[in-house]
Amino acid sequence: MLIKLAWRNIWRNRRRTLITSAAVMFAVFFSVFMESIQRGAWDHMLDNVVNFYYGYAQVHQKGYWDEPSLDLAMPADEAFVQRLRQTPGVQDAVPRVETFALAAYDQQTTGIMVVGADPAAENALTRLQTHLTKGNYWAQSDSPQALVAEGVASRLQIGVGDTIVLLSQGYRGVNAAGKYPVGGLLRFGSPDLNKRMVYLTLPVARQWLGAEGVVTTLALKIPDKQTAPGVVAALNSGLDTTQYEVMDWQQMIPELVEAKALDSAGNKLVMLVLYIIITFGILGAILMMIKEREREFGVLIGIGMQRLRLAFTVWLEVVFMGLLGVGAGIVLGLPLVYYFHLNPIDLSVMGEEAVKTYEKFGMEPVLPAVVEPGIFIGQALVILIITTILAIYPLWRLARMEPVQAMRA
Amino acid sequence: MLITIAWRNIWRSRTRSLVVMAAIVIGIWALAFMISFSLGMARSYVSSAIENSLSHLQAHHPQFGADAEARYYLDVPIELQEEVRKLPEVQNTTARTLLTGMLTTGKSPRGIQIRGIDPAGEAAVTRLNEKIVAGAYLSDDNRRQILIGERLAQKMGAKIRSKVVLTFQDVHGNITAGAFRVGGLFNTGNRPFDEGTVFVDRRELNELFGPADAAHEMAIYLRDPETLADAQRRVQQELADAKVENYRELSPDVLLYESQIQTSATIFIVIIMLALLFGIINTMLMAVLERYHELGMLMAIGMNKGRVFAMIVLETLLLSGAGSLPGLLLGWLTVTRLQHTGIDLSSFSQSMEQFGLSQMVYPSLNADMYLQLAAAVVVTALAGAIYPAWKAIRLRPVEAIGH
Repeated sequence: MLIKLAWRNIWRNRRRTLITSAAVMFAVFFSVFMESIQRGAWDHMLDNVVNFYYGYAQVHQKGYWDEPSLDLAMPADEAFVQRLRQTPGVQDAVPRVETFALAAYDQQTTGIMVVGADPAAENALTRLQTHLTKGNYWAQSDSPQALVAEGVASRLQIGVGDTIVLLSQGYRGVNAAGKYPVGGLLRFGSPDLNKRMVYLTLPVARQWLGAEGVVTTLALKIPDKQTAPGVVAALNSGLDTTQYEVMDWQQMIPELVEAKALDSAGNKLVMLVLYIIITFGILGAILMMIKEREREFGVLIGIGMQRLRLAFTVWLEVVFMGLLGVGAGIVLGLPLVYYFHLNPIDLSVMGEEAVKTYEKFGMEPVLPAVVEPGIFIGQALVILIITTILAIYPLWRLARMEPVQAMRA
Repeated sequence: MLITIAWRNIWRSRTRSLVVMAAIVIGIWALAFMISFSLGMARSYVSSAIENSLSHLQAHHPQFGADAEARYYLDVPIELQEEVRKLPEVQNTTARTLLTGMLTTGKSPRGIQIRGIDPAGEAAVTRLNEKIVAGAYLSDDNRRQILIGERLAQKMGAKIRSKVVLTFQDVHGNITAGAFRVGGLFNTGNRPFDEGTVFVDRRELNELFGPADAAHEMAIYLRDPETLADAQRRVQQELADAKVENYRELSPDVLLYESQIQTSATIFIVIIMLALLFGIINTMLMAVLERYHELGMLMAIGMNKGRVFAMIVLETLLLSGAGSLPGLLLGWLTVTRLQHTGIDLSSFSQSMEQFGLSQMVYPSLNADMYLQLAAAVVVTALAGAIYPAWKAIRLRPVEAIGH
């Protein structure tokens, strides 16, 4: 009954309802759009780095992350690896030997990161093979070829079939120098990875570094991103933490996690201001509504309608106006967000400068939107809360209303 | 006359008008803050890029380019540097040898850029000497010293007086190595730079690299950035063999930052103004509809449509103006205060350092921006007035009086 009454009431002044709802619609539409793009861009970037290199969690010898030295590598202990694999939530523990090195070809040198990887396990974890743009993936687990990221290749002006020279410091300070044929080129979404990655097979890398039987990193394959923190916590309590360190991706790239937080704080501020303004708009509409219906309210109270029920009707009216706007905003926003989810915004149309700037910040110049129900539900909740708080005002007015005076108005 | 009427009309419905004004005050205030904040951020980014790394102008071998190939170097004898320094626009210059190489401590290797610098010149141009946090800056007293980043030193387990080895290609493409001793640790606040750069004396580096007077880069700091174009031309004349570029050409992100300030300000303004627009239309429409009777009467006794239209528009303008003035004042007070105290973003320090931003942001806003804000309100008010005013002049006096 009351619902029907409230619904009819808001259409008694159609224009005002439409304008008020339009304001809400605009705020919802804009917020949804902005948040979807922002979240999408960051997730895309983090996924680029996390999925294609770090993995959601890693295990090292204690202290390795702060001082990444081969001397802090750990013995490749099969029993330990098995134990990691049997941890709930972990599918595999992928061994790697990682080190910085100098790569040279002809007159060019550049600093790079060498990863000694197990071809099959690495491919299962980071789908390395799908990044191959030229040449072939390793045929055997000890193939001698190096797979070189495109950025490194263009810097060295090296191609498939050429021989890359890798110089580094090996295990316990031995000199590491080796020549490897380039077997393939890799393209990574993250410009940062693209500029510095070179992959060898694990046995070849170990031989080069004189690091037989050790690994620097065990990257954990965790199929569900959400479970990563739980897995890390479980491992941290189960393993000997004086000997090992377990880190999730948020600990490994804190600067990116924080940059995301900073960026979304900026967006939240814009949304906050937007919603404050919308709040005033709705408040204005409520004021007008009460004023022009003072007489009607007086009569209703006079003939015995409970003030609380009347207040509830008014609250319903305000909420209806708000939800109408939310609905319209979502109907308008969803297709657009979905469109940009399928067709990410490509910033390279903004020119060379934009691309380079994004690269400098480690981002691909591509902004895909996420379609996440949470964002839409969040907007509806915000509007519901705002309208509910605003409904306190008519409640207060109605409580103080003198029916006789109101009827004379 | 019309203004007085319009002004009085606004106050006939005080609460309603005050609500709209409050929305405008908050909108303008927030805009002033947001724009000044992003302006402050962009300025600090650009100025720290110029002061700490780029300088205003740089000269390179024309083919040096993005690949930074070591064989494309310039011959920069002391005399040539002096010539450039004597130009009226130039405050200071310095020359650098830039090589890609590997740094090894006893424990681990790291790919880095080796910068061979003239200690005095570098101190004058980028004030590197002020960024030493442990040990000492390069000096002639101690031979074969190297400066490395504080964080890099931690990661590589190096300390003051540690011996490190630099490995790189010399001018003929042969792999060369030289031992240095850590003389000092620096911290510029830009993490990628600190983790990827080491400094040694240019003469010592050139002994290993090959040509004695080689430099891959000459950085020129100007007395007055306004003279950029003139200075660039003059320096180019002086260094005929080199390619002289200004900081905008050197670092496209600086250019982008500068150009995006206006873009992002415009986007902010449009969003907030659109949100305000709905409130203004609603209020004015209500003001017109509840005065149907009165407006009909006014027109019946001979007030022409133009004047009625003007009155409604004026009312909207006054209403919005009355909100924007306190908003601008509040914004100005806030910005002026924050300009001095700054905003501390050190809780985001990791990402700020990652992107080479300083942790203190000093918001600032120029007069031009305040004018833009005021203009935006006027435009919004006019846009918001059209529909209600049109509604007002469309009424038929006879019907409206009988309303």
